[in-house]
Amino acid sequence: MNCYLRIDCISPDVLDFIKETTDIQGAILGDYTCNRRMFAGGYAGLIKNAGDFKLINKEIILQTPLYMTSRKFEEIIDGISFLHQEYGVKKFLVQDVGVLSMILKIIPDAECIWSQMGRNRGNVLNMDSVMFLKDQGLTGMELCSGSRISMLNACGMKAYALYGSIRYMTISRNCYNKCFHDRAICRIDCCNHSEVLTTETGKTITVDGFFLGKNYFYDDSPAYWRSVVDHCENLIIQCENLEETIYYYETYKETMKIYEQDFCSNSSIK
Amino acid sequence: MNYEVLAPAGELKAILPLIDAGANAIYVGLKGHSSRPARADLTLKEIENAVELCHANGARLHVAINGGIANDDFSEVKRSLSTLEKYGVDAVIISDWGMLKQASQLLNTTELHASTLLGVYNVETVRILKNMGVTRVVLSTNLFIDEIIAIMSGVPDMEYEIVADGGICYNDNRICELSHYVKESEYRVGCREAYYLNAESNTKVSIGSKAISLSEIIQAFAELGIISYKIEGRTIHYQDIIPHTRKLSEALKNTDIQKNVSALHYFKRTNMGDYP
Repeated sequence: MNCYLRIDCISPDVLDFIKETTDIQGAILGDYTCNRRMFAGGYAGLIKNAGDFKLINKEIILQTPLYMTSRKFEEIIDGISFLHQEYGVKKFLVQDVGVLSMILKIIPDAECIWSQMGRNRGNVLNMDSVMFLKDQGLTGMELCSGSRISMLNACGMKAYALYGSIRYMTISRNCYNKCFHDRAICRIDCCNHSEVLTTETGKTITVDGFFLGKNYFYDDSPAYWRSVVDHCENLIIQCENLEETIYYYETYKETMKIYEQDFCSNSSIK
Repeated sequence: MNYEVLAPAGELKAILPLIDAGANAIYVGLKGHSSRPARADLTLKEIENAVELCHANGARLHVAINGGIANDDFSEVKRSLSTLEKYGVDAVIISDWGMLKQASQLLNTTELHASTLLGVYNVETVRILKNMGVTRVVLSTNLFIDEIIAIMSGVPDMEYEIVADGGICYNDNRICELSHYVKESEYRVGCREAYYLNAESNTKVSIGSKAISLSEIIQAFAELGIISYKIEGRTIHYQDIIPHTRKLSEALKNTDIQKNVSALHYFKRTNMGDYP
């Protein structure tokens, strides 16, 4: 199993953990246009991270941005080309069919994976959509549903099982608190103070950067793990910080042991 | 006429009053397969009647199939496409890539429109849609005007539609789970509710976008070459839609578009939406 990490911030201690954990293949980096927690310096932060990963000989999967409009398109595509040439990046999480097409034009052997984040613009709910994306050159999909993992395998696509899928309450192009997403200038520092919105019905939601609240969902059901063990070669563990990373990485290792033992004992009975 | 006012109908009896108010085209949802609650959708039989009503009164009928289509529903929706074409539906509005591909192979006379929920953000995606036989792109509601211009100048031989009136999704279309979170199963638009910022605060803030009306600035969009101006609101009673339809229709009638001068001309640059 290839294990990748997607963490909010690649701090030096996280980098050390990735370096020292031999069966962690690498990490997801990006999206640099909106993930200010990961890349305080924007694109420069991404380049720094790419250099760090090259030094420790770990793989990068680059998350391409959500809003690939004319304001960013050329810059992002140029950045992708540079990261490929200089740092050997050739796996990309995409969430836009046009971006998928453009990446394959400039890097024909790129591995493009449909991002779980792309569910807003191509929520892939049926086999015909999977086949359409495959025809466009997609090689894999990031998934958090056990049943879809086996469905994907059936049509020759690689499943990247997501352990810890993010659920946003909402995501906004322009933060409603006037944070300028596109220029990455946060005028009001509300997101760092975990401010809370209270609805008239008394429920609360948190302000978290450009998101109105998010949480991570870890599926520990037997059906999910059975699917992962049986149909997956790739797992992405998603969490916020090093402490959680260690916890969920160990949970994953323990769970895999149980299911692999189960698999071995079933095989010997046969 | 080089534009269209596209009005929403959540029921059959809405159609004639909306055409009277100036709608050149009506859009309805296919029962159970649109992005609105089924109560605002029309059955196939009702759509057959809607086509007759529209065509008899010089208007077009578009059918939105812009809900998520699960594997189990796929064949049924596919069959419906052929039925809709047989009825003479002018266009289907689709938001699922798999269904779009099927529709491009199945349909001969009914136009294919790419729904705003497909999330079209760049020229490259429009080119793919064009190759699939899509004749109109409904532009994403959160595009800035220079981004619209870049798309239109990148693929000029495509029809473009905008949401010109009504509630738009301030947030990224369809990813928002707020409505269900706030009101659970009740169909409410969560972001349009008022919230208190901070538990102690007395100040209510709206986190959603206010309903828009482009009537006053419609000339700019008309000069860009936007062909269709959609009014949002299939769940809204048609009597409340009528004044919006009338206002938009009047505004478009009063536009003074210089036939040989396109606003796109001023914005087209080789580095905008024209990546080699």
